[in-house]
Amino acid sequence: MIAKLLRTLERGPLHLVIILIGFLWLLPTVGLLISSFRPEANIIHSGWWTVFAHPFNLTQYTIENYQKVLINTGIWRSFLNSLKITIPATIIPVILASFAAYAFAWMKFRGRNLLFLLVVGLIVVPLQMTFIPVLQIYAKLHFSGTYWGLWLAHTGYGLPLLIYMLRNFMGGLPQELFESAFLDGASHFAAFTRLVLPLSVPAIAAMTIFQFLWVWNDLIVALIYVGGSPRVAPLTLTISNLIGSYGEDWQLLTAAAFISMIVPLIVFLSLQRYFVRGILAGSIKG
Amino acid sequence: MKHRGGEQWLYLAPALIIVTFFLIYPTLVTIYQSFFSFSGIYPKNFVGFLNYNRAFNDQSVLIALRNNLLWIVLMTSVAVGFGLLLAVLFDRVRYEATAKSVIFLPMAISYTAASVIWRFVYAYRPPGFPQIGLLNALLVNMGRFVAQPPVQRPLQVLLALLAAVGLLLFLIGLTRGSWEAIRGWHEGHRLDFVGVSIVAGLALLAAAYLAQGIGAAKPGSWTYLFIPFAPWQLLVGLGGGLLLLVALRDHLWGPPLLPVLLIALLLRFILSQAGFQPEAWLINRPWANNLALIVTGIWVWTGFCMVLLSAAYKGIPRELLDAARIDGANEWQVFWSITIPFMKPTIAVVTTTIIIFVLKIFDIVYVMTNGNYDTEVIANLMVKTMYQFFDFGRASAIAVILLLLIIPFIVINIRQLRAQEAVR
Repeated sequence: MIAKLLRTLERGPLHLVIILIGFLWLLPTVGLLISSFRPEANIIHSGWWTVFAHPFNLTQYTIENYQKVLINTGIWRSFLNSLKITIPATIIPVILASFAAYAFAWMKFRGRNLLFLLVVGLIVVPLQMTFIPVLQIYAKLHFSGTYWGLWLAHTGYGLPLLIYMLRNFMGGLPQELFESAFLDGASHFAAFTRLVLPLSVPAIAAMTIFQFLWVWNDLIVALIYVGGSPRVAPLTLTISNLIGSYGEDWQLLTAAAFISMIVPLIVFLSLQRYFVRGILAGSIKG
Repeated sequence: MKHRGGEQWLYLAPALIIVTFFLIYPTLVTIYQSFFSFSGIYPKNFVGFLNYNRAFNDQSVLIALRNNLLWIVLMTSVAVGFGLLLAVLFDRVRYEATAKSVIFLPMAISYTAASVIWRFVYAYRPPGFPQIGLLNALLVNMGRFVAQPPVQRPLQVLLALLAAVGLLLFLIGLTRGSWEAIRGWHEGHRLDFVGVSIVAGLALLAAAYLAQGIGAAKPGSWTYLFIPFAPWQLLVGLGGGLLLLVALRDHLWGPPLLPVLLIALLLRFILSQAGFQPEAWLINRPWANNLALIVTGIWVWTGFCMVLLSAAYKGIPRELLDAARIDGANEWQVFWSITIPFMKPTIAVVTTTIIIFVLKIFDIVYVMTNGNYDTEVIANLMVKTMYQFFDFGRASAIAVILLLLIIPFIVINIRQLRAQEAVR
C-alpha cells in the first residue's frame, strides 16, 4: 500500500513535466483563440490571460471580431476561395496519380524503372526553381490569377509524391490477385477499378488528406500565381496581406487566423491516423 | 499478363505531361536562364556568371546564407533533440496518444496561422504600456517581481525552499544509492561528471536563492550576482532539476537533456541582453529576431520529429535493454550503447529531412518579418528578388543556389532510406 503510494509519488515529476510541456505547447494557440473573442479595447489594454480573473464574466467576450473580419476584410470570400482552390487541387492530382501509380506498379514496359526514378526525384525540387518559367508561360496564356492556374500548379507540384506513395502501396498488393484476375481475362482497367482502387483506400485516403492540407495551408504557390488579385486569393494569402496592412490589429488577425485553422483542425482531430501517416510521408516535398 | 501495346501511356500521360510542364521543363529553363539578363519577365542577353557574381557579392545573399545556417544548426538540433526527449518521456505514461496529439497539432495548421500565433506571443508595446504579448508580459512581470523587497516575495522564498528540499532529497538518494539508476555508479562504474556538475550548479543556485530570499543578498556580495535573473533561473533550475529527477528515475538521462539546457541557456542569454525591458523580438537584430523565428519553426516541427523517433524507440527490443541492465550496465551506458545505436538510422533520416525542409523555409519568414532586420533566408530572398526587385535573372541564380544547397542532403537522405530498407 505504502510502496504503491511511493511509486505513484515517484512518478509525480514525470507527469508534471509532461503536463507542463503540453500546456506550454498549447498556450500560444489558446492565447490566439481567447483573443479572437475579446473586444478591441480589451485586447489593447490587457493581455489575454487577464480573462481568467473572471472567466465566467461573459461580457468580456464578443463575436464582433469575426463579424468584422469575415465581411470587412474579405476573409469570407477567401475562405470560399480556399475551398474552391483546394477541392479540385486535391481531387485532380489524386486521380491522375492513381492511374500513373497503377501503371508503374503493374504494367510492364521498357524504361519503367528509369521513368519512375525520374518522377520520384522531382519530389524534392524546390518550388523556387519552377516559378519564373511557369510564370512566363502563364503570362502568355493569361493564366495568372485564375483558378485553373492554381489547380494545375498544385497538381504538378503534388503529383510526384502522390505517385511515389501510391505506387509503393499498390506495388505491395499480392501478385496472385492479379494473376488470377488476368487469367480470368480481366483487362487492366478492370483490375485497376475493381481490384486495386478498393484495396488502396487507406493509402489514397492518407494521400488525399495530405494533399488537401498541403494546398489549404499553402502560401507560396498562391502568392506567386495569384499575384495581386484578391478575387481568387486563398485564406493564407489574405491573412499575410492583412498583417501588412493591419499588423497590430490583433482583434482582426487572431480571428482571421483562427478561421483559417478551423478546417485543418477538424481534419486533424477526426482523421488523425491517416493525417499523421500522410504528413510523415510527405515531409520532404518541395 | 497480356495487354495492348502502349496502354500504359493512357495511364501515365496526363500525369507525366503535367509534371513535365510544372517541374522538369521549368527546372531546366531556370538553370539556363540564370545565365541571362532579363527584360521584364523574359530573358534578354547571355551574361555568363554575372548573376551569380552579383549574388555572392550582395550583402543580402550572404545574410540569407548565414541565417539559413543558423536555422539548420538551431532548429535541427533542438527539434530533433526535443523530439527524442518527448518520444522517450511520453512512452512512459498511459496518456501517450493525447500528449503526442498536443505536440503534433501545430503540424496541421498553416505556417501563416502559426506565424500569426507567434507574432502575437512576441507582440511588443513600449515600456510603460500594458504588454499584450505573452513573452514581453512575462519579462516585465518578472522585472517587477525581482524589484520587490525580499519580504514581499513569499513565492520566491517558497520556490527556493522547494528547490532546496528537492535537491536535498536528490542528494540523499545519491548517497544512499537507493535508486537503481544511480546504484551503477557505486558499483565501480564511471561517475558522470556532467551530471555531478549540473547537480553542483543547481545546489549553488538554490543556495544563492535561499540566501537572497531571506534577505542576505546585499550589493557587492556574491549572491547579488544572481539577483537580476533570480526568478527565471530559479524556474530553469527547478525545471532542470525535475527533468533530471525524471530522467534518473526512469532510466534515461543525458543527451535528451542537452537541448533543454541549450534552450534554457539561450533564453537566459536573451534575457541577459534584454534586462527586464520589453523587447521588440521581431526587430532586434540579429539574434533576438532570428531566434524568435526559429522558435516558431521548432514549435511546428518538434511533433514531426517526435512521432518518427517514437516509432523507432518502440522498435528497440525491451529484452535487450533489460539484459544490459541485469549485466550491470548503468542507464547512461544503456542509452549510449543500445538506445542510440538502435535509433541512429531514424535520427539520421529525421535530421536530414529537417535540414532539407529548413533550407526551403519560406512562409514563417515571409509572414513574420519578410526578411527585414537581417532575418532574410534564401527561399524568401528568391521570391523577393522576383516580386519586389523584378530582377528575374538574379532570382533564377538564387533558385539554382538553393537547389545546389539542397542536393547533398537529398543524396544523403536517399542513401539512408535505402540502407534502412536493406536492414528491413
